[in-house]
Amino acid sequence: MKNVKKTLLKRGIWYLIGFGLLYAPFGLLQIFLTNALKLTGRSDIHGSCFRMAVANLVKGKGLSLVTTSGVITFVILVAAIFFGPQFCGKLCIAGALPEYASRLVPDKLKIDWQKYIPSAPVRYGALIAFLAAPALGISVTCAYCNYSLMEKLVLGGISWDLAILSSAAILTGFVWLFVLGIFTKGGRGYCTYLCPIGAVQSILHRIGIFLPFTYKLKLSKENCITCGLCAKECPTRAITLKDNLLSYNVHNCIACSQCVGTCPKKAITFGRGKDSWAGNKHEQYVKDTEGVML
Amino acid sequence: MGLKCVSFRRTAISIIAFSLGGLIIIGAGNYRKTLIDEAPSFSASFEKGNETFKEFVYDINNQGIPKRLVQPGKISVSTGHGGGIVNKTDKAILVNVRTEGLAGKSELESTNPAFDKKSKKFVKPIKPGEALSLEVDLEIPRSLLSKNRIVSQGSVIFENANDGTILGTLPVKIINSAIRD
Repeated sequence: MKNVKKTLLKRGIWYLIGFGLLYAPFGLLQIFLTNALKLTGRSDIHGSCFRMAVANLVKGKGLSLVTTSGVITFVILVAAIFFGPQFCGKLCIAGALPEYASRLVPDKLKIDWQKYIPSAPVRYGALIAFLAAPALGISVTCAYCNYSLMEKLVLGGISWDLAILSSAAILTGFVWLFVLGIFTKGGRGYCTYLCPIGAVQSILHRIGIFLPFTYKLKLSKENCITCGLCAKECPTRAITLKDNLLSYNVHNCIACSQCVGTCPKKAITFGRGKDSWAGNKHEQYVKDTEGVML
Repeated sequence: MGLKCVSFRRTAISIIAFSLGGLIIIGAGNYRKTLIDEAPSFSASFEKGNETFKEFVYDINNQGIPKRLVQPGKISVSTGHGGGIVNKTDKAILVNVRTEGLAGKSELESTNPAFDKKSKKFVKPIKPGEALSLEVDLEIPRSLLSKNRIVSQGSVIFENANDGTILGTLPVKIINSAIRD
């Protein structure tokens, strides 16, 4: 339990750093990029918007590396190949907020959505629709942005005056913070089902795993005592324990390292080398059937 | 259950889940489309001075259910993602913005670098050809929203901060079309 709290605290500090770097009233990263590298961009969360950058990329407008959001997007994409979705696991406070808040809600009030609906295909389906949205004549990039809403909530909290919200933003808040947030097991339902940023990083991480020099989650079968603490603590349900066997779904993993810090035997590590989860046929079978045994 | 059968079920569920993800986003996008009138915007330009811009009309009845439930009285008179208010004169203008006659509280916001967030004023002049973005946030008491068809009527006035002359006036009308006269 001590390890769990220690890891949560460590991760919490990272998320606060992420908040200071990307969100108003600080936006330190954007301020640094605009001053030091003379890039253009806003100093609030819009100045680091990955979604607009990716949407522009798909629209054929390219990735502008003279803007703060272009550079930040480029770094996130490259980092996802080599280090996994570190942005989600270390810096994204919009994902962390419902996760941490969900720990205050009793388990019996939380739904384990992944038991009924596998998240990875939903998220990739949502990503494809998100990318195709401009061609379909619909707009979802800004209207349903939980990052922008997060910033509005924080700024509203500081000035004790909530910003003007649209129906789409209110709906986003309801789903992100409540339905798929604090009332979802792990609190990361929005991340695992709907976040396009996480989806893109997961795809790149999945590709990166094949390379021996990239960072990935590794399991030492010799050290593992299948206590299930990692599965219990995993906020995205990437690690599950079934029939005394651990299975790992890389598509759900956000590289938060909660499992690494929690494991009492140090059987899980995040490092370079071969993908140690794929070697065991039996585990692979459990992994493949995950979410199907309804 | 055989591995083949499990594999088939897995594929079928994945396809359904994939479609579900896509449909959620498409549904959300279409819902947003139906609420386009929930956040109207305006654009204007300073040309000759003392101009009256096209009236800005906001209809409470166009709000979606979430907005109506949570904050129906919080309304924005905004330039949105459009061209903003363009300075078409040949001089740089330091703009002062104030509201007149609008019910409830009002506050100015802008993403323009010339706007000082603390004093809520434009502190740098707008050069010729440049545009300023503006958002006038209104907070109208709930009790007024369903009283009359015309909820509030007033204007946003743009002044030249150096000499006090009026650059333009934006008439603003907040209505609730669900109420018949």
